[in-house]
Amino acid sequence: MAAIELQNVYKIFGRRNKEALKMVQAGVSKADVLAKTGCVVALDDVNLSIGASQISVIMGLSGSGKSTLVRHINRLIEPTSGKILYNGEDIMQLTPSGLRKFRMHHSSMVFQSFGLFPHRTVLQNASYGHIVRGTKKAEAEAIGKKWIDAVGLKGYENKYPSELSGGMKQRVGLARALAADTDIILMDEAFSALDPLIRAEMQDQLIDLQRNLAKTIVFITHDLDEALRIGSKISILKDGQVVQTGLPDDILRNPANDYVARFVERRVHIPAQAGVSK
Amino acid sequence: MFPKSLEFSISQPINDFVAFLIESYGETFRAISNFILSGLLQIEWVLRALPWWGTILIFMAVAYLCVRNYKLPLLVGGLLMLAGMLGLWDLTMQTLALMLMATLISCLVGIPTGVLVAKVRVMRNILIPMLDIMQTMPSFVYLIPAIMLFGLGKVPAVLATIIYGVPPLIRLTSLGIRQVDQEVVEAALAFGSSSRQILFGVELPLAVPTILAGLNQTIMMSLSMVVVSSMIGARGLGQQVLEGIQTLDVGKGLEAGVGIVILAVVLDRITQGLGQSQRRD
Amino acid sequence: MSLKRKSLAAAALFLLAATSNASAESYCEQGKPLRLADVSWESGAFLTELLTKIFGDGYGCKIEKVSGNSLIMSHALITGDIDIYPEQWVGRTEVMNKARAEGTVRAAGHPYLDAREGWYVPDYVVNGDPERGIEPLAPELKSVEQLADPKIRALFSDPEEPSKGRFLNCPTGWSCERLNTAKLEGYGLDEYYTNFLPGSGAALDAEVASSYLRKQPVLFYYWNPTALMGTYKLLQLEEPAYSDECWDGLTSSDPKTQACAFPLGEVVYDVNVKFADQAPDIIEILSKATIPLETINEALAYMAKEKAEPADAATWFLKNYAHLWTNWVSTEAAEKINQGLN
Repeated sequence: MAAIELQNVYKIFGRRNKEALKMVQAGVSKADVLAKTGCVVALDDVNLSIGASQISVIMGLSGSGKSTLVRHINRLIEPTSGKILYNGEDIMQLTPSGLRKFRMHHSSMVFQSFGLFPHRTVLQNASYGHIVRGTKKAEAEAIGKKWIDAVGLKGYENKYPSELSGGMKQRVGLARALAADTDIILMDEAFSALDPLIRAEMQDQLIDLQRNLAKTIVFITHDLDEALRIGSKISILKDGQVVQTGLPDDILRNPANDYVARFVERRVHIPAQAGVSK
Repeated sequence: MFPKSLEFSISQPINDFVAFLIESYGETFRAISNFILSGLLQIEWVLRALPWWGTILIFMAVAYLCVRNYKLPLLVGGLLMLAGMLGLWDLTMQTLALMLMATLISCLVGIPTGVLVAKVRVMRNILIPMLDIMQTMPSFVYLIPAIMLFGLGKVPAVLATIIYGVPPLIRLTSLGIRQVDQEVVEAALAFGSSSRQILFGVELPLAVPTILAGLNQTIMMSLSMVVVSSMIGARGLGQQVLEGIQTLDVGKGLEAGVGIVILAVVLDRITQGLGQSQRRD
Repeated sequence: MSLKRKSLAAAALFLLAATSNASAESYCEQGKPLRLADVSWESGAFLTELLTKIFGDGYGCKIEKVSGNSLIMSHALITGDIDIYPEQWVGRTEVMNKARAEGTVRAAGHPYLDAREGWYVPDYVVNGDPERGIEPLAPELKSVEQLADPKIRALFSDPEEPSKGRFLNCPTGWSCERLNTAKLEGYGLDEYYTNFLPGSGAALDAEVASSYLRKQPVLFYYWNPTALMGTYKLLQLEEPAYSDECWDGLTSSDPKTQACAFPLGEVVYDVNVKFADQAPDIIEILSKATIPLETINEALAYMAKEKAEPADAATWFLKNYAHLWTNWVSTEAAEKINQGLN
């Protein structure tokens, strides 16, 4: 079942975005749109179904629009045009308070540079989702503590983020997202800032946790290995367009076009030479 | 020569407007003035009623709480002692009361304004040039109408001090808020925080070190208005400086000048210490 | 400027030719410039401009105005670098006292008489002002002694110390400030009134103006001749008559037990004695050129109200007070001055 569906989503940055939208829809190229209107086309007619209770990976190089795309799901970024459905309900129709409730109860997020609150302790960070929705402090902190333990940070509750290493920080980020107890977790390049060993560890931990929790996770990455490792389904984004969506195997065996093929090739050759997953 | 036909003057309408304000709303302005004055007098009463050693001890304690070492409290205590020994105690307390009142109102006005400047682009476009005007307009230009509206003495002095002193607080509050890591704000948003929760729970706490730096500058700039304040009848160290200048009593002026410097160093070090203790990376 | 000076020079030449048959050559006819101190305060500047018009237009003198502060101008007068210092308060500075005693400088006349200074309230406080709808607040108030009365005190209540009245003294550091402080003590008023130092002349003026516009009572020290005196209707409070004995007590003894009115100030046209010996004609005119105090106040008020230059105020005076100044100068000169006005 599709938990999240994006239908004909366009995102165009710039003052004259309405005008640019018409041009894009009429088939004008991105370069011409930029030249004529000064607008940047970030997402170009994206259609995507994201299945419930699995890890869906959206992969692309920097500038492909993947971070913009994931922010449409909780409306941190508003689309220029298009529909975003959550369990069949159009979240574009939500009022500001409805949107806040949606974010509180249904979607949480993990960030590339962690996005931790530097003035709050590990425990306060982890329980933030509950504090925001008005859960009593003791109760919120009990939940926070549970998830700190779950990500292996027991004993660090009263430390500040600045006292932690990168990997530990992202565990706090993960604990914060999990503690919020939402069905969707958006992970924007969550492990990209970590060094390879820690990164592999975190990937394992995520897979472990997911086995028990069955969350709907949207995972953004630029790394095909990571995508193949954790993704149940992978979508490849290029220049704001989804070029292929499929199971990891499909992507490897039947690349939809040259672009995907080059990705896959690199993945096939490089590890063979270096012997280390990058 | 600039053509006469293109010249115009706004002085008459402004003069008329000020006269109209005084005649029609003079008493309202005086009521506002008396309200500010009563707050100021209470601060002054406390400062002057406290025994001198009590005040010094309070300052040393505050200094200790801000920096958690013994060097600053000793410096603060020593400097205040020196002010007392120079016979400037009462004057220093009067000036301090004025400074505290001006600083208090500066915070009440400056921090919300700074937030507004950070959040609303239109406000930024309007207010930033106004801040430049506030800092460059010669103070007597607005002091004279201020005297006419608010009366002589402490209240216009406080107002003038605020006008001159508040811009850095507004600027740095705005800067502090805009400097907050966007991803941290995004994180707060993503978990469903309201804009009020973000402002008070994330942005303002993270901007505190920058805001304190602004407060420090505000206090320093306010101290430079002490002599101007005395030119509109506010008592304190400035009046003695003025007296020294007007009667060519260089020594007397310098003595009171030292008093101002002492106050400046004490307040500067304390607020700086506070700012540093708040900084967390 | 240079054009003006040239036309003055031309006029001087013309006059030289026209009046060469006069019995004795006047100072200016000898081609010597008349050097005036161009001082900065309003009444001084007005008098300088007035003398410029009278001697420049009326007698064809080549006028040189030299500007500087009062101290520098006093020295210049002593050394003979300027000829006339138009508004000098007698006995106010050591330098001038000495020069007067040594005979290098002397008074040539009085620009005005009895320069009063004292303690003032707006006239409406005592007499009311039906036109502005003001009831008299203290109809019985006449003299400084009455200020101790609790009812009167309350009128002038000091917002910073509401139990006391507020007396607006001279700006900080002026010599009148010390005198007023002594008088406050001498009258025994220091326990009922705060000795409020306004810090600057502008601040004092602003407070008086504001009180006047708001129809509120205010008690303050002020002096003549000033624009303020000409602008507002003010009432001077009576004080015990001046005596040297009382004044000495006031300025030297401590504590002060009595006080009295300020001495009437003697204000003179001071001239360099060497110049005076060479220019009896000019000295004679100066000796007659005395303007009533009220008229000077009025001219200064005109200057303040119309934002006029001192020169404009001089023109205004010459136009409106011909009955005064025509008595000072010859008929011939009066005609020329009148021509210069148009």
